[in-house]
Amino acid sequence: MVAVLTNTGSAETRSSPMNAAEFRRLFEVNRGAVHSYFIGRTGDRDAAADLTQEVFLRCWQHRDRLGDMAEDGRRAWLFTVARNLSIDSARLAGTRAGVQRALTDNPAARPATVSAPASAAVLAAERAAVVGAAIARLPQTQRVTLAMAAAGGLTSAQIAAALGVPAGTVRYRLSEARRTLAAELGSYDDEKEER
Amino acid sequence: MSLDDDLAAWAATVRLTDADAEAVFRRIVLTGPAAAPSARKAGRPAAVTAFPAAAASATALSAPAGLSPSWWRDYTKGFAARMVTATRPVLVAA
Repeated sequence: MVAVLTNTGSAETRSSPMNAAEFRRLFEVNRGAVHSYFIGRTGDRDAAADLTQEVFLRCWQHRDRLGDMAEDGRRAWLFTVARNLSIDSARLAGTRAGVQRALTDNPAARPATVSAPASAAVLAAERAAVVGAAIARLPQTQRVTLAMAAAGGLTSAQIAAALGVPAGTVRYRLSEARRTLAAELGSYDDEKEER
Repeated sequence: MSLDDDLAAWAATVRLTDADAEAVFRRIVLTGPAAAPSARKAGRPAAVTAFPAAAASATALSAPAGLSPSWWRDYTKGFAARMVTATRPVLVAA
């Protein structure tokens, strides 16, 4: 913060803006967390990338204001923007879901059934899709928490700080999400063995 | 397969890669606030910069968003010089 004498003669305080190197550091430290938050909210990797870009774009546009902010304050600011954006994007999701339904209802749009023997990569992709579908069925609060832990690599304390909830709540949501997933994926394994 | 393995495999498919993150960063810092294109994969160029990659030096990172005034000055000067040379009358033998 620096004191600046304006042309009217009055002194005012002005923040020193965040420079490109500081912005790069903020981006590197928080991009995974922000992206994983949006993965939890949208379930779509590319939509999450778009929203992540939007968060950091706003951060870059407001670098004057963020210049003197502490690390924790910056992260809190990022997640406030992220939460507001995800509310806006949720409004669009209704439209997107309608289009998706129209596509899945159209037999021509469905992927062809592959009868050739599946390679390990195909099996792994199929498994990841099954896990993703099971995660998508979780309640939103559990889904976001799990995505931040699994994809963002955040600890319970970090997730709690980002979401503004107690760490105990985060641990409870994680444990509930894991219990549900274990049950769902276990039943998927059983179905597979029966085939 | 354990649940942690499943989650790790899923996370690998959704995580933002370093290359994608770098592209996002460059779009924000180099392209400028008004015109940062979408981060979506479809139709996305490998690296979006507002001017040729050779000009996207580290010094550009410290400049405000958009092309710097000095870049425009140099470009305009070079363009004017080329136009003058190209349109200069040539002596033709009688």
